[in-house]
Amino acid sequence: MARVHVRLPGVLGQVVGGQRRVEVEGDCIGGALADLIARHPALAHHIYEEGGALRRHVRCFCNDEYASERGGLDAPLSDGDTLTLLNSVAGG
Amino acid sequence: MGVAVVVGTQKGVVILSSQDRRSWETSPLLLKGWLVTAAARDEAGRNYLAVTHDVWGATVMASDDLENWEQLEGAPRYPAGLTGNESHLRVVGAMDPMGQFKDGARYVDQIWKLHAAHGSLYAGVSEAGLFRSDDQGKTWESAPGLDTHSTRPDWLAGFGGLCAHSVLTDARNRDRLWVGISSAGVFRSEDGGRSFVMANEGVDKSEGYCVHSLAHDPIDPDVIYRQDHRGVYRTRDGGDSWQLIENGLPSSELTDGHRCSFGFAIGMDTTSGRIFTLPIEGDSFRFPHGGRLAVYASDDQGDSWQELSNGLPQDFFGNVLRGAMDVDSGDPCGVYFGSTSGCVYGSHDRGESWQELARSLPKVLCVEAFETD
Repeated sequence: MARVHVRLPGVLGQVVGGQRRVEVEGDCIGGALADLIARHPALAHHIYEEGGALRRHVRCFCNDEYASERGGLDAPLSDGDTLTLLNSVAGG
Repeated sequence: MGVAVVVGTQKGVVILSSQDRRSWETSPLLLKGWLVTAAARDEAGRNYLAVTHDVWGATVMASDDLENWEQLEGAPRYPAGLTGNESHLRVVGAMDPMGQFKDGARYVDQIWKLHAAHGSLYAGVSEAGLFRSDDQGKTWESAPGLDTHSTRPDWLAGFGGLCAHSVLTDARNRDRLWVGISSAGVFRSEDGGRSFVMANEGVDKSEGYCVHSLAHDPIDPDVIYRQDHRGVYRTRDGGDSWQLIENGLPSSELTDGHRCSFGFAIGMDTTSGRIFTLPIEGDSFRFPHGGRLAVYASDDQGDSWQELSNGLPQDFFGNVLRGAMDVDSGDPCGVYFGSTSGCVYGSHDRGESWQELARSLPKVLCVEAFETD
């Protein structure tokens, strides 16, 4: 089980007591996110759609790569990896 | 009497606190980045805020001290697979460049009203529906009588979408409640939300039944006041029939030429029965008449109205939204409202005089006043 960090945007950090960086465990990206939700159940509402998929405009990166380009939620993780959750932004 | 005025804005919430309702302290902006769209306090004294974010969704926060907020375990959400209202999806889709609503499903995209009564917490939401929690927000159930109402496919969204923004309950009867939906109208249930009848007879329906807000005394619930797109109305029979009550209110011409007293907010002092409204110069301009900010009050159930503007600016071009006015429980009551231009005004004497409580805040979406120790 890899030990990784999840970085949260400021808006979501307020949901977990001001934390912006949470240590979790998981063999893959989906597993790490599941552990994040287990530690902070309130985040489930913000990350997942009603049907259980990631919300449409939530973007997940592993280190510097978009998660979908590493195999999506099944992509394996290594100790020390950093997952970053971001919201899509539009405007100017 | 101490009061805390919760001011929900487009970018967070501030709490205005006073022990005498004359000198005020302003909290830092809390919950930065969240739209704070509604507030309520339950019978046990727990405070709730509805918060929304375009990407992270709509949910409810709770606090015992108005400073430290914790997200509730559950949130109002429609089950996957329900079909959305076409009119609503057109409105929210136009404001959604990322296409969240383009799959045609029914979403809770905003909580417009929180209401505590009979040990339950109610949430009026868009896409329009009513949710109830009987366990302080851990779990929520939607009212099937609105979810499956026979007229639902024909409901028309207002400018802000198809939203259930007003929730009233009967203090004597848990099963009796009213929901105001823009612009589908007022709906009444006698069975706790399992079924609803429309309650709009007598209201001009040229814009659909575009109710903007409702006020009443839950102890005398058959008398309800209604600020509608098409004027100010009263019912004395729980919504079976409505009468226009605009004697003394300023009127303006709407885009289709109809004249009435347009506005959004309406409130009531349940101690004295005084009603408050804040007329706006028509649906084209959406600022006070001639820029002269004024609240109007009635002491005879709306038969006549008088202007209350002592201390209010006379060169003011903001709007006051439907949830952005509240009346406290003091005697005499305090009255508070906030504007789209980020100002908050308050009165400690039933609206007879006013003072500015805050300025330069983000757009004010909701105002709720809570008694403090």
